[in-house]
Amino acid sequence: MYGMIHNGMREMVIDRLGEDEWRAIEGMINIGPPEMIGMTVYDDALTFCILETIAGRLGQSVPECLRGFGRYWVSYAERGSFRSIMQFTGSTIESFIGNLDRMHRAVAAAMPQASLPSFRVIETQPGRLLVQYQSKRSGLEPFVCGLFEGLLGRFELEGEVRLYTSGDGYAEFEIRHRADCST
Amino acid sequence: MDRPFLIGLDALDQPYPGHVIVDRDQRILRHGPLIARLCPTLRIGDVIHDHFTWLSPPHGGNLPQLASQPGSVVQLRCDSSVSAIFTGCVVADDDRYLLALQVAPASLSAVEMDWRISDFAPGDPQVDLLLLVAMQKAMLQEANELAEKLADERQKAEALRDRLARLSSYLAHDFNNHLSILRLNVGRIKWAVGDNLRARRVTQIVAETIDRASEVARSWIALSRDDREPAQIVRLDELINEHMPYFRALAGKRIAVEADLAATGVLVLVAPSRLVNCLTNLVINACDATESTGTIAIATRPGDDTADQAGPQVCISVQDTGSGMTDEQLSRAFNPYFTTKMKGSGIGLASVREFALDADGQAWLESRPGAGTTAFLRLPVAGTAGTAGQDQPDDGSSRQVAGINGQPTEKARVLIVEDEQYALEALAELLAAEGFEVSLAGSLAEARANLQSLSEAGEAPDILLSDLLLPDGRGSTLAREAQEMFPALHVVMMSGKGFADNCSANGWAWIAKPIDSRILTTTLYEVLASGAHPSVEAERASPSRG
Repeated sequence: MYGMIHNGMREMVIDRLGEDEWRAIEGMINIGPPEMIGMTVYDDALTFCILETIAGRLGQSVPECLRGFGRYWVSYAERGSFRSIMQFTGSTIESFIGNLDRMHRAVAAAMPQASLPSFRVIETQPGRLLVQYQSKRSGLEPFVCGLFEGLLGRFELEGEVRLYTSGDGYAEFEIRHRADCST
Repeated sequence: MDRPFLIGLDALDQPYPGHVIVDRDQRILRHGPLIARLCPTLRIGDVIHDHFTWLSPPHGGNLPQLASQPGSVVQLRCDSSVSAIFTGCVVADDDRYLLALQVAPASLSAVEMDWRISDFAPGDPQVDLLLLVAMQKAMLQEANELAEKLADERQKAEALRDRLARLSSYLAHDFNNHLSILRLNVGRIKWAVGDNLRARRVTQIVAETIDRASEVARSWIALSRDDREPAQIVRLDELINEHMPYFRALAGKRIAVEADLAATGVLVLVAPSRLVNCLTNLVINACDATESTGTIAIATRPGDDTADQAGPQVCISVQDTGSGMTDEQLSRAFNPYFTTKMKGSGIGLASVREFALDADGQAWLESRPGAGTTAFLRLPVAGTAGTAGQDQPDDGSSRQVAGINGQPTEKARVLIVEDEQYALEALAELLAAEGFEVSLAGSLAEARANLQSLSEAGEAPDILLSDLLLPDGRGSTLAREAQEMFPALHVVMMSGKGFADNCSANGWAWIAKPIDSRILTTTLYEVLASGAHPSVEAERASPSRG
């Protein structure tokens, strides 16, 4: 995965556990600034190694940690240099998810070696979305659940996300939400 | 089922978020969501001219006529959002006219200007282009932030390494000084005991133990200089010019970095990476002092000799247009760990000064609150391009002192400068026994006075044998001053640090402590035999046993 993911993981650890804890993780798995270059694509094994170590430090299972990281990722991306792109992508959860593939196309154009997932809104009802997810990677479903939960928060919605169905490189997620919490 | 304009009104919003439907009098009957967002004052029933300026055809033309001509293109600008141009065609349905418009942002920075993908028609290729531009900008910003972080990390690592190097270097220096005293005095005992075999055996044991201790000191020295880039002759302006893109990336787009390099061809003796690191620190400081936009000017100027620096100098300055410093901040700026920044380490400027002193130069700041800060680095000039390494002209003032095998045919005069009294005594006795005429000084000040006396008496020393580090200054400073007074003077430096910066480039010999008496005398004979001007390069990093 690309280094921005690693940066996001680092920020999550620093936010939750402090900078010393991140230094400890760096020491444990022998990583440093060269593994944190935002626009560089790294081996997935390295990303999972970082994730497993973080999960251990947080006292979580890897799927729990992935889901938590998915939620964190939305706020992390919103804070950094990709803020304007996030805003451009959509002003509602439906339009945002519906436009994710277009955003990913630009990422792929900038980083041809990146392997990016695809999202498609396949059903829309008031308070309910069914989203199809396709990826060459497996095991990231908890991360996607967390991402959608993060998006609910970003659009000030209360709701829940569940894995509806899944297959090889394919999954559907149901997002249920109540009315806009801000109103 | 009524399906105006063939697709029905409700279905228009998605493919044409910027559509407008008007009647024959160009009164607005309906519009898409983008129009509502960009023209918040627009109301149903308003005339289109109240909110839009027709660009083509001018004044709006004749809508029935435009609708009847397939391929006719209309273009309008939204008056309340001048960054948007609408382009499309006119479709008629009874007495209603659909302006099927697509928006074209006037700037490729639309992503940063509150536009949304939903403002564009599905499949509009502009979206991919805008996203790509935005992505590249974001990546550039990430790269700049990363460059800054890496520079910061490098600075911290450099500072840590320098502290470790200094510590081991000081240890080695002190240890070697003591060993030097022991070794020189063991040599004196050896002469004194004559043929007493038992006493000679004891002195041999002590001498060998000193050699082993010297090996230990050498390992500390290795620790202090392992990955330290050696000083080399570099063209100053070229080095800075090569790194300007890096400095500009560091500063980011809000701060311009300009170069005004006027030291054409000037050569300096520095470790290039240390000088670049130094300038990096100064550029980062300048950026941090600049709150919004500003300029950083990196300049070089050849300078004249100064009162406390012999020989030509060159000055590098890094000037910012930032907030400046108070007198109190200025007075503490070079102190290690002093910082005015939230996340500053306080080691940047300290390492700048360390670098300048190591290069026999100076660093200082000039600043006033609100008037920016200028950091200056003054370095000795090592030559100009095309003349580097050329020998100094002989002024003919040297006495011929070298004879057969380099041994003096008349007494060569040596000024020994060493702050360790016992070492000074031993050196004096050794060199006197070898036939040299010696004069002694225990400090830089004493040596200066000694040189002045010789000069006034019209006499000239042949060799300056000086410790590199003296309690009141550097041996290299003394050597430059002495060669200014006596151009034919030979210089031999003694260093307990295991290396001696600048010796080769200045044409000075040097010997490592602990001093081996044979190496010392051989070196002195060699420099005398090498000619009447100081061009000797007789480095001896590891003393052999004798």
